[in-house]
Amino acid sequence: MQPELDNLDERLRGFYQRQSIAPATVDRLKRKLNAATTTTVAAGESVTASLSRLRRPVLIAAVFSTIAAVAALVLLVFWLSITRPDERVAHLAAQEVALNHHKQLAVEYPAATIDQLAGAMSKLDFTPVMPQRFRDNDHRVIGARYCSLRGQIAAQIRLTDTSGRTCTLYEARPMNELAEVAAAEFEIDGCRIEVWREAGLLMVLAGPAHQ
Amino acid sequence: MADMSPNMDELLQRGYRYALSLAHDRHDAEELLQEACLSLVQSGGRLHVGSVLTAVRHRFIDRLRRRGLTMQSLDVAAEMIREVAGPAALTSELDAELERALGALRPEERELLYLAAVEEMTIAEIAKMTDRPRGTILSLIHRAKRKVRALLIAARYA
Repeated sequence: MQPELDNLDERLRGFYQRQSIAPATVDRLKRKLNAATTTTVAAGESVTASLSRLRRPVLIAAVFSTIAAVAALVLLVFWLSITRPDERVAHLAAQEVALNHHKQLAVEYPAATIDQLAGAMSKLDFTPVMPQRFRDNDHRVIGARYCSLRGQIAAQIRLTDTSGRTCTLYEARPMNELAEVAAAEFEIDGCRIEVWREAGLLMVLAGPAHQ
Repeated sequence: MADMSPNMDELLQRGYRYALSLAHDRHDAEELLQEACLSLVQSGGRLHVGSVLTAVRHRFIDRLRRRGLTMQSLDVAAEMIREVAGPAALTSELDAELERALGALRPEERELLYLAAVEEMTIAEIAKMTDRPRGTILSLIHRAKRKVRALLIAARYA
């Protein structure tokens, strides 16, 4: 092998070491790099400022959304803290009753008295009774249907007075969640809702407000 | 790779030589170096030997990809069987022979010869930089040297 081929690494090193860019080209490149460094810093600041301006509406919206969410959470926590569990369940039951009262669903078991309903509605796990307050006045029974109250079977009894105003009475056994319900009164969606216990049953009466 | 901080001129010259080993064209090598250094600076990166060589490599690979080629493409080697273009004068007939022989190699082969012989990087360092197994690198370097020797001998008897 020829001598100059014996040490190829050295030849390669020598070859590449003799390759270089002209000093003028190096200077020009260095100037470009310096300019790019300055521009990059300035552009970085400019971009940051632009992004800040662009993001301002988004930030404002995000801040307001967060405030609204926190306020809602605080109100919920406040409501939970000032209301007793029995009041909360009573309120939830009253909301359900008000909703159903507005539906005015047809009765499934037409009847003139509560006793007739007691005989007809065999699926109930209690015997419906006429509340004391209606025994001595002019309310009369129209009929009833099965329904549920906070997940428990209940009787939805339709009554009417001499003026023709109807009201809806719910009767259920005060078990599970309903066991915690205490006497209360609410006005929900134009309905006056009264909750009380009588004869071992939970009674919820829905009628027109200011009746 | 030597863990030293060369001054900027020396750093640019090293970057240029490495770019030349890849592109085998003086003009392309200058462009590669400039693009690599500018991109590094514009992205807030520091200019040191490792970052410059890596940036040059990435730029070169990007260029090949745009042409549908890779570092291993034979088309690239075929394209480069020519004298190194550019204004620099060759110092000797031996350099001219070597330059032609290097031009017949694939970019990846030239790159490995350069990194091993000129940058004096270890096989482990080259493996890390090029993301290839050590065995592959040893094999490629061996084959590249054999090719260069064969081309140099052929040139003598041409």
